[in-house]
Amino acid sequence: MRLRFVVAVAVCGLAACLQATVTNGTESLSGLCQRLKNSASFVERLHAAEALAEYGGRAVPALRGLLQYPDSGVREFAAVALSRMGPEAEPAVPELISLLAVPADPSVSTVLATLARIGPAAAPAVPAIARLLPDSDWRVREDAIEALASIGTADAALALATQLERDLPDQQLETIMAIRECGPAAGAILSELVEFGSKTSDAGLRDEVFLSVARLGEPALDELVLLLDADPAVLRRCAAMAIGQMGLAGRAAVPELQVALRDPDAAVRFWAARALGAVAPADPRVQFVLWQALSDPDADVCWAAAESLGLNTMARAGGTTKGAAE
Amino acid sequence: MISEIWMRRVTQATLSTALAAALVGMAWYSSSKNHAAEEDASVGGQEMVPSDALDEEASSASSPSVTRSMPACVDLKQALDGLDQARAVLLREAATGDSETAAQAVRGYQQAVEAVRQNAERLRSRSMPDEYRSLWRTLTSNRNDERADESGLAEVDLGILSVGS
Repeated sequence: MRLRFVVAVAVCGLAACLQATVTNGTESLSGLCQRLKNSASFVERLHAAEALAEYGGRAVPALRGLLQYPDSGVREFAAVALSRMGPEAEPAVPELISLLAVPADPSVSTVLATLARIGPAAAPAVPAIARLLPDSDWRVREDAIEALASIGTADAALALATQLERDLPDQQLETIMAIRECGPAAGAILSELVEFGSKTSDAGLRDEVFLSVARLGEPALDELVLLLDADPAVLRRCAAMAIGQMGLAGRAAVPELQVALRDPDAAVRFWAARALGAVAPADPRVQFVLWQALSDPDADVCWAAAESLGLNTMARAGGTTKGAAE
Repeated sequence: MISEIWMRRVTQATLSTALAAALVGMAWYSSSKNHAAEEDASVGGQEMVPSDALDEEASSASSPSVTRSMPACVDLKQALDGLDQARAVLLREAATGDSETAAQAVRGYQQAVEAVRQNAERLRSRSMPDEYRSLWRTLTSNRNDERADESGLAEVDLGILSVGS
């Protein structure tokens, strides 16, 4: 009898251990939701959120419910769990949007990060995020800009372009970088970008704007080619630089770049020479004008022409310290 | 007696099964955790390396090391050396107390600062923003000027040009 009792206790203990081990691995959804709601421990709540995230899409309905919970801490951990799922959390976008409308909600940064992780599927949230942009809290503004950049739709790019006009000068660079992250969708604001780049007085910012335009590739080429004829010279310089950044996609601009190679401004000629080498390096007509540019009165233009013709590379490879331009 | 033996065997079998199941369960649990950790690491990795940085490197027309051979860069380097010399002269002459030579040293210093400013502007207009920043760092890193910081030549940016004027 005693043996039976000992065996029964041992089996029960082992089973309990086994159950505890298995339970930790696959705790039920409802159990995890309870833990997230009721635990006083930050770490335990975080673990519960991470465990919920491992359930993927199956946990989304429960988490949508938790996003409407009165306790902001619960809402925040629910958003954390959703952010770990990435695009799989898309069904929760309406609840996340409604949280953005709550004034001074402490979970707003987490909600914005979650929308950023969801990416383009969170596009319906763009108007709600855009409303946060004029927020006086710089952290909220930064999170909102990051979220719009990750969503990366044409609407998101448009919201960022609107913000660009409102931004203080030291905030504009960040917004430009966010627009660049939107990728081809930023093509929707091409004319706004070019206009902004044309009127800004900050040289560094102007360069970044035109580099963002260059990222749009061929659709931006016509606008840039028009600028090769614009005044002041600094715009022609930026246009030539941007076309050069397009690489072979800027090939159609070769005739205008050849004209720019005779521009009165040396910086324009410099970038025209660089651009010609980048967009059509093997074109005999291009090589001909570049050889001509080797006798340009400006030493930097000569250097650029030599660089585009590959002469500097040859000089470097030959071990000589004297570049072809010299 | 027979039933006790039978009972003992059943118990042993149950224990072995439970133990094996526990081991399998723990192995599965740890592998799923490792998998989740790997996924976390990959997600974290994506965050740490902005895609822009890679794109920019790929799309950059030339590297700063190439641009360093550009005449604008070479001239700026010389202008910076000239500024160092002009500053040394200015400090030396200021100590002597001779107002005429001190005024001459101030003029030389102003010219040197102006030369740096012009060449810096020339280099800025002939390099990409990231190239320009990198070149500034390279050119100013070896200078004997505590005021030259990472963002550029503080001496010029802070308007030291006004010295003596």
